[in-house]
Amino acid sequence: MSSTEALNLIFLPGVSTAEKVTNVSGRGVGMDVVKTNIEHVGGSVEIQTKLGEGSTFKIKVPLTLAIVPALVVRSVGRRFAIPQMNLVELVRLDAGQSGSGIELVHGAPVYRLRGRLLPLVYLDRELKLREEEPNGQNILVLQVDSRRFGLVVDEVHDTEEIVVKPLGKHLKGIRVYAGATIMGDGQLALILDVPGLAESAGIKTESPDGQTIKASALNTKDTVEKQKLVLFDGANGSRMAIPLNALARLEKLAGSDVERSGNEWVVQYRGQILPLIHLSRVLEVRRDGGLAPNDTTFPPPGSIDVLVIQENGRLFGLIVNTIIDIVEDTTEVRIPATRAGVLYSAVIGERVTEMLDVSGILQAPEQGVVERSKAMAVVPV
Amino acid sequence: MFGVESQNIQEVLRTVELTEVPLAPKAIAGLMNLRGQIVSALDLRQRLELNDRQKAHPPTGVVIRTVDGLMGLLVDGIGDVMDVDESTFEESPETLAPQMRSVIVGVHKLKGNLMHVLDTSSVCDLKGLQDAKA
Repeated sequence: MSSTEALNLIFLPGVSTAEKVTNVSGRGVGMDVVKTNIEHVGGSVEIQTKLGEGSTFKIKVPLTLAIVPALVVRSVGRRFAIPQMNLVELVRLDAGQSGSGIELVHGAPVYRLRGRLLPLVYLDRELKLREEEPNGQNILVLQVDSRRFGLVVDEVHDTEEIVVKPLGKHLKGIRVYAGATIMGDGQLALILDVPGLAESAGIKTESPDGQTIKASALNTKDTVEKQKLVLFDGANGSRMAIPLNALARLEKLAGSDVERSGNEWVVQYRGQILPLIHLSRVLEVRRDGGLAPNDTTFPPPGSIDVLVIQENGRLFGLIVNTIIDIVEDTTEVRIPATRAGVLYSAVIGERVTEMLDVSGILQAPEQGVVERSKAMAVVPV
Repeated sequence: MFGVESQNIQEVLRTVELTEVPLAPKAIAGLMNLRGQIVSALDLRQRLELNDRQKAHPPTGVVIRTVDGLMGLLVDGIGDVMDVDESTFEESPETLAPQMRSVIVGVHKLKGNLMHVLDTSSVCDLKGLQDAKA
């Protein structure tokens, strides 16, 4: 056999030159795992070696691996990309009142988000972009391990799939950057490294009670698949949840923007007419078997919390009482549903929560929503 | 007036569009998009501790090949490609500032002018220089 063939024997499972088997090595499966995983993503691995001199392992990986979805933002006119992976939600501060909602804990800015304080990091201050007081109209809620913080920027643009290009040797060491990308218009944008940004801003990424992530991994709960869930008060204090990936957007709309179209409530939303479904009405209907009296005032006072859902290519808005939180949890511990409109009840965030049956609600014949929208031309958002 | 060995030069860019990198070392003026490749731009005036370029005179870009890949150098302008030989070369004098010694390796004594010979790998080595834009 040729020397290349002999070298490639290393990649065969079970081939080992170790005299002793330890708990981390010696079984001869390591290299097989390496080769399989690399080839699985379309790459290749090659060995070059010279006795007495050394060995070189060349791993080739196709560039397409380095495409990530990212949110493009602007601060002081410059564009930055933030990997979607660390992004939990966006909060828009009221125009003309960017001070509202932001409080100071002895000089450290925080934002009250659904009852919890979110430490704020101003991008223009971290990157020293602005000489005057740091500013911004939008807060990106970012998460690193178990800690969340808000990144304040001027503008938020779209989510895009970007190709991550590494920075040169002089810039590699700057921990707030993960790389750079070339945008569709040929312009460059820097990609922010969220853990690096948190570190430089002084945000500790351990969990608040001092336990590190390693400790919580011993918790058997973590061995079961967790998913991100949106917790909300559906109606009259009923704690409910839907998977985060079923949600298109979370919105707080002005009650005065709600209009009537026949018997239904709608709102003009991003260039389309969004049908609104009052969750309390729907859940009441299902239980009684008849239409509940319409005791909801029109137009609704103040603002309304809306979960914008996409079903079969159409958008719907579910009006809920309040949005509680976004959590990551398992739905292991559960019992079957106790009413229609619900899939099951599970322990989420340490409390019993009903999992909303989104498809079921949207297909409710009383709503007539699905039938009517067939006639409309809907432009996907 | 400076000289760089022509075989290290990949191309010359008449106009340079830069994207600034906040928190980068002062000598790095930014990043440029070279036909899809991201190349760092080093401002030679900053690197050689000369006065800042006037806004009215935009820089010319010289893309050089280094062991770490391509690097863009921002210069005031470019002149001719000329052949020079050993006879006109002399090493830098001891009076040259020590931090410049590795960068300017010597001069060619041309008619009416001294051409400072730059060592491109030293130029691109920013270790030990003052970090971060003010």
